[in-house]
Amino acid sequence: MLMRLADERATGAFLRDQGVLYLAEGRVVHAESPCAPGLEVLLTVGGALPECGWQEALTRAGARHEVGRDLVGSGRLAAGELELCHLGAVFDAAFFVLGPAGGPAHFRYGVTHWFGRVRPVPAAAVERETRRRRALLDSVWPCADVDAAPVVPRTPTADQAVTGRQRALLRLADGIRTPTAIAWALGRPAFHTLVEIRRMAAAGLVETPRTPRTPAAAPAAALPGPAVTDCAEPDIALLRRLRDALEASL
Amino acid sequence: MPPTTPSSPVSRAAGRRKGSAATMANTETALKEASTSIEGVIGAALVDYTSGMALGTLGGSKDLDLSVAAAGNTDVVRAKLRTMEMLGLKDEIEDILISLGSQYHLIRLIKGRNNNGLFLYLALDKGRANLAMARHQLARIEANLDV
Repeated sequence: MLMRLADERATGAFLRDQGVLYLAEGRVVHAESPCAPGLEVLLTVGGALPECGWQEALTRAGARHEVGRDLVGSGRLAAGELELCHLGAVFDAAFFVLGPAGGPAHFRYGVTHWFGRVRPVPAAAVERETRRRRALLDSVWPCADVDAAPVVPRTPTADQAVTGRQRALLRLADGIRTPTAIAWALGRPAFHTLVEIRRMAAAGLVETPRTPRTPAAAPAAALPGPAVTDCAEPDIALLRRLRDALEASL
Repeated sequence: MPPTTPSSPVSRAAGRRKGSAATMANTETALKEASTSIEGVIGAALVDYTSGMALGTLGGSKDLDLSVAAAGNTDVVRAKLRTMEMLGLKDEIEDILISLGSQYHLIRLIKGRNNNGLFLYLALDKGRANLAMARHQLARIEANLDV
């Protein structure tokens, strides 16, 4: 459906359960999803813009649908900064909007977003990138459970290195916050947090939830007898080597 | 409206142009500048190294798919960052040079105020490129990129 709208150079809002893509003449100009921190969060929490700067631009240029242009024009943001942050937000939200659990799609012709255009992206590029991101997540650590579970850090061993960006993320991992909540708190895109969490899960730096997070699983864990959870800590490095070897031989 | 807001350092405001339609495509401008001001450029890309996505590309060919190069080189950058952590080096990567038989591949990490995790990637023809000059120009382009 998105490709058909792109072909007919449609302008409007493409709505699915996980958010909205805004099209202008068939190109994606904006995207929003409840799963991804919006541009406002990326800019203000990320530190590029004070909260009041965002509010001012919204008041001044929101009705004209030129908030983006106003942020640059008033000297609040550099053009490159806005462009990159906006692109990041668009691809981040689109990843969830176009996800497999997105449900049916609707299109409202003629709707435009108040932020205004920054750099329109071909719909095909957005779809391609969304597929690539999904494949990347699975190639890093094919366990989607870590995406939604609270992040529980593990103590790194001597030979495990944590990068600066990962450290910032782990500082907020209190066993309650999910990857999405951490993304909000840091003002970073949600996908970036997911991919870092999967990398750290693969490296054994955060826990991978071992039991399904459904209520039915709780009594099963209480049954007597040997259970998987009673085993010693899995040797992640060994498991990875095993997986690689299996993949190479299949 | 004063030229600078209280919260923005002078150096930022000085390098900034006033808003117009032309300034909106800043990434494209920076990459174009890279390919015209640096001798021997085969392709250039601005890459986000967490997601592996190229936020902008210029040049490239069927022999050099820049989106594949972008995604692959994020592994190079992350491996080096990890190694530095393991070595306990409290320093930052300025650039990474990969020298092939016929090409140079130059990666320059961008130190924006927001630490967005971006790098500029440049593939150069070894026969035509002046490496020292290319590095110098790349640093200048980074400064103009305004991130």
